[in-house]
Amino acid sequence: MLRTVLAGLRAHTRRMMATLIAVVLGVGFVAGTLIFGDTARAGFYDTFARLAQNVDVAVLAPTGSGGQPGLLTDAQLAAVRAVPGVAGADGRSSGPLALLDPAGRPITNFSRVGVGVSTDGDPRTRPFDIDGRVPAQPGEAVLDTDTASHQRYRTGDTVVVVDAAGARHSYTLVGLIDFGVSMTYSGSTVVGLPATQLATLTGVHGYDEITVTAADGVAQDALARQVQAALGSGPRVYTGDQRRTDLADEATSVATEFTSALLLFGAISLVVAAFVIYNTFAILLAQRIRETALLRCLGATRRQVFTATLAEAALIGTVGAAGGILFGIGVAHALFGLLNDAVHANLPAHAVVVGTGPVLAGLGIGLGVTVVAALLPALRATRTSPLAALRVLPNAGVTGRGRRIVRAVAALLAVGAGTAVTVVGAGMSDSQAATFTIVGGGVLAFLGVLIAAPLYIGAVTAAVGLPVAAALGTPAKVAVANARRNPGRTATTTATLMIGIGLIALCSVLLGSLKATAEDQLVGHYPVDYAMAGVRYDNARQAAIPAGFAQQLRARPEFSGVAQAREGKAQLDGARAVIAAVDPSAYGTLITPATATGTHTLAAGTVVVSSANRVTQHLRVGDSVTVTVGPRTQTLTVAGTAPLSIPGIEQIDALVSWDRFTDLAGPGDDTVVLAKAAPQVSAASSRDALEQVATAYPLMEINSIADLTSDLNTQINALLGLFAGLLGIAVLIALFGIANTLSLSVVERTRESATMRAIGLTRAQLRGTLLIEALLMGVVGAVIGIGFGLIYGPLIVVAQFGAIGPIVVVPWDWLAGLVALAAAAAAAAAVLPARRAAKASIVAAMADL
Amino acid sequence: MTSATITRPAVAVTGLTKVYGSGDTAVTALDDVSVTFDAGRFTAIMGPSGSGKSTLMHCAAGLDTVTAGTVRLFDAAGAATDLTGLDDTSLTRLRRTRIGFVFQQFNLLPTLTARQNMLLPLDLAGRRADPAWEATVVEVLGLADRLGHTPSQLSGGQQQRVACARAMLPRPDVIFADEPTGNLDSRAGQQVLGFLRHSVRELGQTVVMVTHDPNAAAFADRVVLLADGRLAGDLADPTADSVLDALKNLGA
Ligand SMILES: Nc1ncnc2c1ncn2[C@@H]1O[C@H](COP(=O)(O)OP(=O)(O)OP(=O)(O)O)[C@@H](O)[C@H]1O
Ligand SMILES: [Mg+2]
Repeated sequence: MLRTVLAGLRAHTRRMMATLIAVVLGVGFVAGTLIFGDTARAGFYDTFARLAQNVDVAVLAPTGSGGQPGLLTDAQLAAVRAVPGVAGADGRSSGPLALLDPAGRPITNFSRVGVGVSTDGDPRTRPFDIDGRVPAQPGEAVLDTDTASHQRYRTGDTVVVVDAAGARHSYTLVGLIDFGVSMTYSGSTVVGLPATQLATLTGVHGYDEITVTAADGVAQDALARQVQAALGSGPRVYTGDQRRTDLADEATSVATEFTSALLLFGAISLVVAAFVIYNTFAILLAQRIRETALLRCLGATRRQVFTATLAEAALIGTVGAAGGILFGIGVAHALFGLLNDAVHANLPAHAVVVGTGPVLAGLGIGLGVTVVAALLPALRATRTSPLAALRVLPNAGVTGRGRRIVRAVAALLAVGAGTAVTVVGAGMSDSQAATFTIVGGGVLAFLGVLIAAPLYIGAVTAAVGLPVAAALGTPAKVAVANARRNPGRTATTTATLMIGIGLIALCSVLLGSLKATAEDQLVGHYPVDYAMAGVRYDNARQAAIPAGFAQQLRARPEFSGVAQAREGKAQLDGARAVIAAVDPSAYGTLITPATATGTHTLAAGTVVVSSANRVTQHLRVGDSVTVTVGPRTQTLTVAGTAPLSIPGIEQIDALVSWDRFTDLAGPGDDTVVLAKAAPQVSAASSRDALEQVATAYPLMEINSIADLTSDLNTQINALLGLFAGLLGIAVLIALFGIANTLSLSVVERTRESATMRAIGLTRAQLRGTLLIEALLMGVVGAVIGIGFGLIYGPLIVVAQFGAIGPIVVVPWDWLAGLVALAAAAAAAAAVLPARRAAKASIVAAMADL
Repeated sequence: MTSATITRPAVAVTGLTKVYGSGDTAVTALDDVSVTFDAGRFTAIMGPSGSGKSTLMHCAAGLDTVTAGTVRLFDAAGAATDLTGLDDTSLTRLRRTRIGFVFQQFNLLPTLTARQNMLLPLDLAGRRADPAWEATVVEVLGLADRLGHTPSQLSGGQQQRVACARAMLPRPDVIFADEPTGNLDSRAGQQVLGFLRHSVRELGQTVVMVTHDPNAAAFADRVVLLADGRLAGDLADPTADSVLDALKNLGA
């Protein structure tokens, strides 16, 4: 029997090629992700372990009040130094510290200033590598290499930092420090200074960590116990080894996060590959029905037929998996580039690590998926009666009524259950739970759509094909008929595209909505060109903008409008909320909320509430609402509802008048200042004017609205590109599936094609019929997939971002492009099968079979 | 013997040679064959298996290329087209309306109904069937109540009649039939042969048919005999007996 299998495979190598490629791609993605995970882990391990190199005992500050990390004191450092067996101990301190760029503006990362770290202590336990030397005397500092290269600072240059009070200090760079890929400081500027100087700049007195080196012959754990005894409870004491393990675990969890997200995409590719494999076997075995029946006639048992088929699948699975693992090494490599470029994942470079785990997993998955996918067709093959060998031509494509009803019922159940779960999810108030429930419902409903596909695919194909056939004539009519003749086969083939394209459509709706929502929150709808905000030190602290800045700006002729806005934490009817106010000179002119109901005009006793946010959604015009800020409470009447957003303020629930805000929160500085350039003033000159005024305010960020929008566009497009790239592998496999189905159909229709050629179909027309058939499958798959994405995309957006009133955006241009792309790609997939069909000589094809 | 009519050629084959393969494995399937099939006549081609009957038909119908020689197809006005000089697309266009085919395996498209199958060549040519002519063909073939059926719903005989209708509808200059009764029982075979003869005698078609069966050949006006790729005899007004005799002589 095995010999028959091998002979069969040899004879059908070409027919198995696409299946093999599907296995290679599917396994390659998963194995590649696993290899990527191992490699990233190794890279993270190296860099994280550096944070505790040569440390024998590490003391971490106790967790302080409110979850903020606490600090270790000089007294505690002295106590550690006094422990016998301690050769040396150093405190590591750090704090937010604003560094200015060469133009004198603060360098921020998501509005946050950078950090300053202490550089003194034992050189062997430093958490960084240094090129140059550490600062030795006042006026010297070091800077991290990433910032230096972005800002073109070199050793010997002067840099300026701004202390918490807003005073500037100049330093000469004496070295550049490198933390490797440290998640702690990722994206921030890091300035290194002696601890004492750092403390005066940041106002942070104390240490995050004390690192200890042991005297010769002193064991780490014994020393750790003694240090703990000297410090009492509170500070957490670890041996150096333990600390390095902990850091490595942290590294692993960072890498695992990436890996599990990627594995999800890998799983999708595998599902698609399984469809392709299933289809290949289903078609091949249907074509071989006479061969199988002949074997049965000659005495092969059902069991032998079954085993032979599975053996064939196992062989393909193994070969494909082996190829997939090799391909996976390439994938792992590509993932590094993709993630680092597209989303600035900041992954450490490391030689690719190919462990036995991913290899075994790849082999197992390849073998498993192929055999499982071939199971059903193999079972069907065993049911072949020996008599089938004698029948003239198997009549393909006619399924019994009974089986169709079972299919319809199963599909209805799945769609029904999926819809019910989705509706339940949409009603949930917890955004996380709602999202998960809706996704679950979506998966279930999609399963129903897939199960039912053979029932409706014919009608859908006809509907899509009708205009095509009308426009393109007889060959197109033949193509439509061909696409419809075998609904099961067409359904499975298009299902793969539905999955890939549907998910891409879903992502594009999600990201499009995310972009619009973020733009609304970040940029707002007001006719302003610049938004100035104080830099942030941490989640709680933000530098304020003195009122003088807005006044100076108003005096400049380059600006036609300047608005000041203040923001504050408050409670609305007891619920936590953010209230804001805009100064009267700008409110109603430059800043006019587009009210949904009521008026935007604010009187002493009124408030405008957000029409979108969850906290205020229930409020109507005329309702009373109590506003509490600290000890003060006032009862106000709702004058209007509107989507409230002001650039630079994240989420506003209610807007009160400027005076009311002062009554509640007291007089204070501005949170943001918005400016509109005068007409006829160029962007360059308004920017110049702004920077001149801003020189006196180094702790303020200047954002141009145009830059914000384009940054946002770049970020979202990069994400969309990443998702499309990851899902692209699934789509690629689907295209191989289309090519596969078509070439198998071409073989099956050899005689038909020859007949058509004989009675007058030109070669070009024959190619055309196959291209159109592929095109139809592509378009139908894409349209159904997109339809699904259009239902679930908005549902997920609303569930996830309901609290801030999301804007649902359907990127129609993108989706139309997607359909066109699917059609073109499907047609491209048909090129080879079509060429082969057209090349065949009529006479030879006629003699076949 | 029959009434002397003015004959006009439908297909003329001159010096036709067909060699398959090359070198040691070369097979000469046709060796310098010249024969003319007259318009409005029913010609049968006979000969032992492997004698080149199918090859001759394929070359004469422009389905296969020739090694040497010419194949001329004449239209009703007597104008000749040399098929050996045409490219694939021109040949294909010509086959749509000027040549009809009937195959041993029927070769209908399973996705199309009987009527759609019948009209396919005209559809491909972008032409409409003459309704009167279509009615006549359907009537003669007895297919009126089968037009909406797909091939899988038709018997072999019915399928072959649909194939005949497909060949007839464009009113081609010649219809080629390769063992059209090979897959039919004798009753269905007789029906098809009767129809082919009817289409020649009453409807003025030209038919060239390859067959192994002397009884089938007896339906024809003329029998051309092939042996080893060469012409080996020519019988006018054949009967089953005269055909059998001629075949026996070939073997001798
Ligand atoms: N594609 C081909 N390649 C090589 N040789 C061929 C090919 N087609 C036909 N032949 C050879 O050409 C010769 C004539 O074949 P042809 O099919 O024309 O015979 P035939 O008279 O139709 O026979 P039959 O009655 O069995 O159908 C045979 O010897 C055959 O082996
Ligand atoms: Mg033959």
